[in-house]
Amino acid sequence: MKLDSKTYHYSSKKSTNFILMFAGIALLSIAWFAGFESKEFYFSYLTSFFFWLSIILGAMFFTFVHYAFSATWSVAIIRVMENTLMLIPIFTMLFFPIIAGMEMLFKWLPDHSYWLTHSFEADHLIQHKLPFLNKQFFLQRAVAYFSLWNVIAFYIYFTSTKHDTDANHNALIKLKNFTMSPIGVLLFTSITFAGLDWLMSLDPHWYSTMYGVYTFAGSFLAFLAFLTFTLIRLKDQGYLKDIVSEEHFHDLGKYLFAFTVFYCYIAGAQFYFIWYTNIPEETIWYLHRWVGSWKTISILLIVGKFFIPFFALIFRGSKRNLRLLQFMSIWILFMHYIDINFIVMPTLHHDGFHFGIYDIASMLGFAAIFIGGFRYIMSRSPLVPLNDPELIHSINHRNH
Amino acid sequence: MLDNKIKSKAEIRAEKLLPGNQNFTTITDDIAGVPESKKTPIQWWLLFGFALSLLAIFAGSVGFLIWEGTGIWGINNPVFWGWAIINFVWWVGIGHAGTLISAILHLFRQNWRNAINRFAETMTLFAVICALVFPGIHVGRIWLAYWFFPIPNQMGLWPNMRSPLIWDFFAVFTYFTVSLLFWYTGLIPDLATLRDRAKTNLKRKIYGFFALGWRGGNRQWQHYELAYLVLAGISTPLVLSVHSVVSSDFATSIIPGWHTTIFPPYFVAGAIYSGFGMVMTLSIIARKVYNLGHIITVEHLDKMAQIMLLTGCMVGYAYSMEFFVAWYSGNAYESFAFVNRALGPYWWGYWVMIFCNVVVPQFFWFERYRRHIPFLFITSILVNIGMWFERFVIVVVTLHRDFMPGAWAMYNPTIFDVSIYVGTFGLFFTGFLLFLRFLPMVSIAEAKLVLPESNPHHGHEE
Repeated sequence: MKLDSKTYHYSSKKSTNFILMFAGIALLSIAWFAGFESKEFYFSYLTSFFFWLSIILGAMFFTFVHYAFSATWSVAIIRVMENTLMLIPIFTMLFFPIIAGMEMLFKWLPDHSYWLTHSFEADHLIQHKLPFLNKQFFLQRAVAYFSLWNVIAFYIYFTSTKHDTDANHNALIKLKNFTMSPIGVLLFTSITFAGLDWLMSLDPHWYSTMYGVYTFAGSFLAFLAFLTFTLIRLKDQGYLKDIVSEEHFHDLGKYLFAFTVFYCYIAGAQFYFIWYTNIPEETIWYLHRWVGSWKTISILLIVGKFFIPFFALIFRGSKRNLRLLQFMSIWILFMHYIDINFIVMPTLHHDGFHFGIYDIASMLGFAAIFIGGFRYIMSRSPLVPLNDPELIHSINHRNH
Repeated sequence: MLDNKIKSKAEIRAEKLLPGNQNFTTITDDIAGVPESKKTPIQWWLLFGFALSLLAIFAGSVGFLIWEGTGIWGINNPVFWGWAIINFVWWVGIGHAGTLISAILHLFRQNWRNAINRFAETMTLFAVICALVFPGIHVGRIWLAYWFFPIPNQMGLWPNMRSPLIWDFFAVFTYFTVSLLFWYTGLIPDLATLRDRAKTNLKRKIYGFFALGWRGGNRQWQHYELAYLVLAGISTPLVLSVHSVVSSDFATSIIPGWHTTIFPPYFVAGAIYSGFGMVMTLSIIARKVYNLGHIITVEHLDKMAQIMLLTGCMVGYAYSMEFFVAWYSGNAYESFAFVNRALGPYWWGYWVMIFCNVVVPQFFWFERYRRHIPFLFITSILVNIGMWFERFVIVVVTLHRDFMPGAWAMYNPTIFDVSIYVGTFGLFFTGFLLFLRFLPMVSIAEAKLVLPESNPHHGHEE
């Protein structure tokens, strides 16, 4: 069986992609310039940053699972995941505004505006956490996470794309050994602490042991939705014909369904134990999200992030219906944005949900960079690992 | 490029999972031969005798417990919960591997499970029975144990539906019921095989009765596969729910060290971990005694070791997060509870747990340890010791130093704590050995699915 090379060579105009990325950077820069002194900007920026970053982290996890367990069915779609990883270098750069705005974002810094009118030394909980929550260690940790993620992304991407040209199957053994190693443990730990550092510490008094798993579950679900959306889009444009079939989408639909439930299980358990025991220092986090229009957002999350996808995806037919899957993947990504907003924003807007100019600008800016970058990376190598001996089995894969 | 003639993973897998020249006939003969054989191995009789004596100890101890009351246990104030709850959680945990193997691995199309799923499911059933013993006997007035059930009684009492203990009851019973159905559904084709091969009329009648008229026709298989898939779908959330509910026995309290949000996934991972430990122990013994090394191969043990490594890392992650957040929270009671676990009077319990559950499985990063059978055997036992100590640390070590230093006390188990726990092994092994004697310990129908000729597309690919 020979594949038509047009179906796996993604062509996009380099100039369009660069213009898109440049436009995104310009938009973010203008927003940053305008909101340099405004907390509003930094919080919006952090929300959008984490939204898009979580997709990459989810991709990293799925790539690990694929290689570590030598999965067969996903060989036809693995390159799309690997392409997502290569956005990490750009996101490393995009982290700088967060460093610049640390004093605006994190209350545990003595320079935060809250401490102009309150005594920093009198907050004994923050004092207790200073060995962990201080600027120097925070930055060292950020360097550690991004270094790890860059190493992982470059190693996996270049080992896999090299295999396309030299057909040396040792690449697959290398990838298996790389992923099935303690690096996987490091990856999960880094996702955990990234969540703790950048999201949980926004409210430095509050804590939850589930938070790392919570961050992971949300990120992985977001990536699954992104992957499904991308593959459907590629198919609509005529790519991956005879490669990615209804069967792969059926499996992706199962994953979307399973991880919708998993996310609900994790987020629900976190809420549930805090609600049941009713200890003020823990319930405060949820109480902030039960004020004004945040209450509507909380309910929207329960309905929109669990019930709607659950009932939409439970049927066999809906997992094989590409239009429905496409809609659900956009919907899940939308709910993921709402979710990140629900995690980050109540720190700033105590009274209710706001969606302002900075939110729009940073979402659009990141979207342009992400999409431009992703299209560029996709055009750099075939959309499938051509020399993987399992490719044929993945193409012929059937759900019995 | 695409048409290179490299053996596919599926073919390599089949060779590894069913090595040598095996076909449909030899598989049936090898597996069905065990319950059909007239000669029971001497090891079976020895183990059975041992199990029966433990069962006698169990019956005697439980009898005395009912006669005398829970005062014969080592429980005290503040350690109101002692070995009974530890053993309950431990046995329920062991029961988790069965459903994980039969349901989740089925949905993930991991066909290496086919050689061990029957084994694990049976283990699940007996483990859950052993677990259910403890809530039953701990009530003191056992004749009122039916108050667990939400049925009207003369006192007009209803179970407190807000108590996690009552959710436990429902969760574990649901789990038991679904596991039993799943186990039995899987057995039907094999029971029919035994019926057709039976030499005596009585055996044919008994196996035939339970085979429910199975003829192995195309339509029957279609219905069967669908039923199996639906049961797998129903069982999958149960794998997560049962131990999550068990974890809520602790996490819904406000006791430092118990109330922590990570408990549900942490308990589930620990349960799967100990379950695989037990499957490993039992399958290593059984493949040796019954010479089934070519059906339960080193490849299978390797895969189980990989899952143990994964779940071992998960519980390690949970221990670390708990410890870190205990410090991070700035809550003095929380930090005390964890420092007390590691450095208090029961420090040895904590470090046994860390050593067995976190340190030992790290050897499984290396293939040679995952395939070294004596090493695997010892490890699988260590894992179950470690998991028992995990519950010991959670229950006893947390309770023995609570909020009031005046009430602090050490916990000393009595001979009856030990005899009831040891006795449940008698219950477990008696049941399990009887299963090995009378029923096929490997699913005959499913073991064959690994053979390339079982694939509906066999010979028609490409």
